[in-house]
Amino acid sequence: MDGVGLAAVEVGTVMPVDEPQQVRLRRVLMDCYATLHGYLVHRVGGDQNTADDLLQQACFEASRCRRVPYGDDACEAWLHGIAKNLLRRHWRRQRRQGRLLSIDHLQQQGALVEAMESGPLPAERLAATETIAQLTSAVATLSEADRQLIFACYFDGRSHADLAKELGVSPKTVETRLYRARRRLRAAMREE
Amino acid sequence: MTSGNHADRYFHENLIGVGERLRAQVGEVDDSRARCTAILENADIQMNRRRRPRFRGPALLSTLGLAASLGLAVTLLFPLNSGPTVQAATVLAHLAQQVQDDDLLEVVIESVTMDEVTVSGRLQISDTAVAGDLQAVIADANEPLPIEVDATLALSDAGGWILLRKLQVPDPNVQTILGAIIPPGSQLLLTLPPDLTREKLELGNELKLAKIRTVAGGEVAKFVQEVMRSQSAVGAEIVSQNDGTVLVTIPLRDTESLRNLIEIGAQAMGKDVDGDIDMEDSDLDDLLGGTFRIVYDPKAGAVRSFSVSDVAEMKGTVTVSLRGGAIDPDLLNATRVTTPATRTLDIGAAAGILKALGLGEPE
Repeated sequence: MDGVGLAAVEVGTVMPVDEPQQVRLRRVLMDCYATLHGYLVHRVGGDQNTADDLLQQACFEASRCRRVPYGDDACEAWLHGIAKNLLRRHWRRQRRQGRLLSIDHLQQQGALVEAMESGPLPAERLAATETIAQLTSAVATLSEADRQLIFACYFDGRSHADLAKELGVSPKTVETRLYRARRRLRAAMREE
Repeated sequence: MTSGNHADRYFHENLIGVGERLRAQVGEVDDSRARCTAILENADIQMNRRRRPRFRGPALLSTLGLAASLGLAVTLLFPLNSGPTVQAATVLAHLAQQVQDDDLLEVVIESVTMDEVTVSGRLQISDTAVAGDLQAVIADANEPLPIEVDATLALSDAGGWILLRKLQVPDPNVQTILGAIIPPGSQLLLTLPPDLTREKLELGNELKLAKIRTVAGGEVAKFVQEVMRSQSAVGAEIVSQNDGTVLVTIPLRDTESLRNLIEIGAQAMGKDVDGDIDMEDSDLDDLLGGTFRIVYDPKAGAVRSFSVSDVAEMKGTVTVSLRGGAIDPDLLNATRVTTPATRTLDIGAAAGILKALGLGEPE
């Protein structure tokens, strides 16, 4: 028996009272696609193809579930949770593969951290795909807590005060944690 | 070289710069409806591809279920960092070097659930035979009924058989046809030629499944001895039993104890703890909540059994007992389980029927 086609439901469909859960899931997926996709692209360092793969996997995992949460908001939050877990798995894999990085890549990472510590990088190097790739592969080697902090502060651009509020700590503590995370990131980029 | 503080400050500012560029790039990402539809269609294809080969004949029970359960149990006992299959193969290969030829392995699977598959059963495994009972339920949210199989099987060099007491599939049309083959109140005895059973047993041996034996000395015993010595560091509870063995229970309560346990396991296998172990807390968190139990015979210096419960995505318990002797010959005898209502069918004919029903290529 084939399931309901994932792409069969258009955005804006009015939800009937007895809407089957698979239909509802697909409708919510279409509604929150842009947010979810943006979040994933962000977290994988701008790599759209990897984000696509993760989102596809999230859709697949969600479709396999027997109970989809009631209410569109709950369903969207649940989908975000699935995406987050897949992302975590992705980073773990990256971390393991990190040990297999070529010497060239590691030398380039070493050169990048030297350059980043020596002064402001030129705009074109800041925006270079290689810079982002080398940074994200180094961030992948950090612990979950460090990784989240680096992403939230630098990649999402969130303020220390905002993060302090979310974490329930003082902004000074956020600064300290961030300093330590940076130190570990620099060390990771230097490792050969 | 820039001084420490300056280096960190430049690094911080450059990170801000990279983040700003990244955010600008993300803003340009294609999140159009067309792309979304394409991704969702791919997920749909993935879903259907997964669903299609769901039932692959009795071989699913005889080989895959056993391999998965046993491999998982052994893998979880030694959760090193080189991938579950490699870990299991490494541990089994190590154990295989220490075995004696006439030993027997007994596996008891108590309602083990992983994802949508639940398996229960009891199997005896030797180098030349596998026999026992297995029940499996595969529940798919998208199907009105689960797939259910209840079987007794015996495979040896001389041939084999699988007695199907229950075989239920969700598709009502297929179920109607199966109902004609196994009418209510009857059961089906599938007979397997020696060539096929030998092939399955060779596969088992390749996977080293039939080669875990009573371990006299060697890595596992060393591991248990070290766990007993480091009882508090790994949170182990040790109870002496009337038969002279000790029951070592290791509840996986916290990350630190688990890390210690892994290090002991690695050392027992001659692994370099610093070089070979790299597990972050989030990896270990997945294993918390489970329990290992090992029955150890201090006199013989041998492990008698080990079990794994509720670890990671696996719920339920798998117990592997290691003992001397041969497989119970009665278990190989089909007449002990057949009744006058039992129908007999050659596996080749059954394979043809399954194929004609579109139930996948029988293995």
